[in-house]
Amino acid sequence: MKIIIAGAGSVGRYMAEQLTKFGHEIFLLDTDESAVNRAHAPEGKIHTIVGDACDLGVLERAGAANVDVVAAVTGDDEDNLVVSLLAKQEFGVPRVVARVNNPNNEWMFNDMWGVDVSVSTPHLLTALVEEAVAVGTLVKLLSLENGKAGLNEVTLAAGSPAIGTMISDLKLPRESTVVAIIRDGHVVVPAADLPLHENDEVLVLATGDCEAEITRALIGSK
Amino acid sequence: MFFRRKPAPEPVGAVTLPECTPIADAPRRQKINVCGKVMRMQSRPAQALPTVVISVTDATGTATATFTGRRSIGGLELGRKVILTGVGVDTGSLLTFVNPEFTLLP
Repeated sequence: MKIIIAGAGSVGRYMAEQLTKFGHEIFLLDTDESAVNRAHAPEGKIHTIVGDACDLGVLERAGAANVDVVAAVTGDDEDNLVVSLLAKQEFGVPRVVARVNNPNNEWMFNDMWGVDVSVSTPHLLTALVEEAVAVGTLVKLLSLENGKAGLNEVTLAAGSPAIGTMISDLKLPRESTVVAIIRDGHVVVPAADLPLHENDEVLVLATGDCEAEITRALIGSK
Repeated sequence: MFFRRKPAPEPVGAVTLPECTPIADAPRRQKINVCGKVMRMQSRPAQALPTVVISVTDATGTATATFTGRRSIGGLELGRKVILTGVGVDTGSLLTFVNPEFTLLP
């Protein structure tokens, strides 16, 4: 796949190096010539372009009209938003990924600005910490499809109404499904007649707004 | 005194309109013009992000255009003939534009 990476900081360079290993063709953009040249990859795998990714002409020169993915990963949220919008609006790039630096700006990283997927490190860290410490609460691990779908996790605490219940008998909403159970460090395939135990980590994939119903089914009303 | 007469101004309204592609034959991810009538307008609930979505239909098919950041656009109304200029992509099988340029036709 052809991928444009805007921003050749440590994040952009790392992505470029990893993605070339998987056989993708990378176009790495930055205003700083020394930064783009610091990316290490076999000769000819990374095309470096020196220029401002917020400039339409520079994106055109990088071949934005033909790429499959644009990743806006500069250290500047404003730049990331501009790159995303240009990629979507002017070049119709199918998938636009943007990095959120300041979590206060996260609300803007949506389809209004052409962003298909936003990645916020502080948000991710919070979710992971919460997942590690929380028992008996619903933790949103990641959101997919622009927030329309999400993967949620619940560790069943003592007293949960789901304990001893078979998965088919859980009163889960229609738009959700149990995708896996983690029991004693092993993945258990969620068969319909599998009874749940205490301390099971239940992973639920859901679309729409049905967190309340999932909470009711797996945690109970407290 | 001798006044020289001003040259007559260029006639107003003599604009050359861009050439349009039939919607059914429109290539994807290329800058194109499509011409048609606004057959459908969609507004979003007040608490959702402000967006105007219009459907433009010509003799061959329908395309939609999304304008972000606003709730209405002066002149864009049902039944109006317009030319949309932009890069179209597929959403499902429908040709869609994001914030295209538009020309209102009489």
